[in-house]
Amino acid sequence: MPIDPMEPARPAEKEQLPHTEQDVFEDELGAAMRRAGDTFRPGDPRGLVADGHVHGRRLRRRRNAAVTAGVAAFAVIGVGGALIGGLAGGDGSGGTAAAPEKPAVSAGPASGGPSAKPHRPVLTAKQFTDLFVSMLPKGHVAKRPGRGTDGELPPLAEVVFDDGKGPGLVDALVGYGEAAPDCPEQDPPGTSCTTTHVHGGTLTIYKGYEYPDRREDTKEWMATFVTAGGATIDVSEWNAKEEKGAPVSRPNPPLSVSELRRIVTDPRWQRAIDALPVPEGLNAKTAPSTAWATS
Amino acid sequence: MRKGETEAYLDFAAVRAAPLYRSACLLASGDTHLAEDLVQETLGRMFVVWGRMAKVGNPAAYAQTVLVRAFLTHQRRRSSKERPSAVLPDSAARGGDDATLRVTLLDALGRLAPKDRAVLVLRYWEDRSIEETAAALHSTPGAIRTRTVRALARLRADLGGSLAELIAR
Repeated sequence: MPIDPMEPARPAEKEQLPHTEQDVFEDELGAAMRRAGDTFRPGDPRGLVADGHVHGRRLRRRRNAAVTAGVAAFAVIGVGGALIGGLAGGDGSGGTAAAPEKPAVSAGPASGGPSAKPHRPVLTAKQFTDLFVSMLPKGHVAKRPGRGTDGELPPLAEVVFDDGKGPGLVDALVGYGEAAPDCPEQDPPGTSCTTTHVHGGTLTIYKGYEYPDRREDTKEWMATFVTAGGATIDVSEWNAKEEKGAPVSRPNPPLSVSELRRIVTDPRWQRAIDALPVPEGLNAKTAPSTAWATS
Repeated sequence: MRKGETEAYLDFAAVRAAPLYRSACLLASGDTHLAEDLVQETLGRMFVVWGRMAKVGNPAAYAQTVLVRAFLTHQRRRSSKERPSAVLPDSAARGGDDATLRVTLLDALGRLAPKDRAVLVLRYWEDRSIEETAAALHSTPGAIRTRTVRALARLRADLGGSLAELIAR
């Protein structure tokens, strides 16, 4: 990949202007900006990187969900032969959230180049969603369109879960090739991030807000488990029926941290992992079901 | 994203976080909390597009553009209120003259419209040409030229000769 991350921003060519008072002021302004700007130092640079990485993962999840919402809308158009109002416009959670972004099919964890064959038959979107729902505690579940293990994008299950104290969006993604996210050394106010090693893998629990600037009270809690075999399970939840654009329905997302932990490390995910192609570079012998979740 | 790409991204982010933060502080006219949010947003968006970065010749410059756009998006959403500008963290207390310069400059920048501020930061902090600034802001060179002249005039009227005095110290 021809990327030089050290490469500085390209300096612009100097413009040929007569030397005027404005030129002098421009020079002074440039000097003042450099003096002022150079005095700023991030308090926790590693934390900024870690936060950015976690945020990027969340953004990509939204986009992946948006792709599903788009596919669902097209499916309805196809069956009915005409546009059925509302779906394409984004009643779907991610559709609204990620509208400006083009779906990047290549970003899916399962799409990273030539792969070994899956160990088991595919799971349909319904089967994958049912698998996720079977792990949820008692409550009312409204299922949304998801994805199975047979597409280029990673399988996705998305439901609105209500334990009786208010509905919250909950989703799950399974894939390959993700590094475990790093937690910042110091959590930004109102957020927390912990990393532990369990079942031979790495579990990260992040509790934060949908918007980094907290302009709305929507919270997002996310659990990521990277298995010993290199597979990743992500479960996210919100205290609203949508990621964005819906009022907060409860103080916190519906699943407790212990429930998140239990669900994201549930051995039954292995059924979905086994149905995914193992990306080249991962030793398939380390990936099968015996590598994880024997407890 | 494959593991190697994630590591490349993390290397990139580690190198660029501080420069992005400095730019963000200028854009946010000293609001360091907002600056951190903007850097987080920028690095997050860079993660999303990292797999396609091979097509981008200069990811560092691209990230700066993403930052400025994130700032403008933020300003549109929050149009009414902004947190106090020119907040002085502990580090500012060290250099008296630089601290005065910083407060004076950031206060003046904070009184400009966000897009004017973005133009000045791109032009005079990041040293972008008119054309590059126009591309970054989805605008035209003519519009950027006009906006630059107007923003400079406002800043000069606001600061008077104090800028020259402050940088001479």
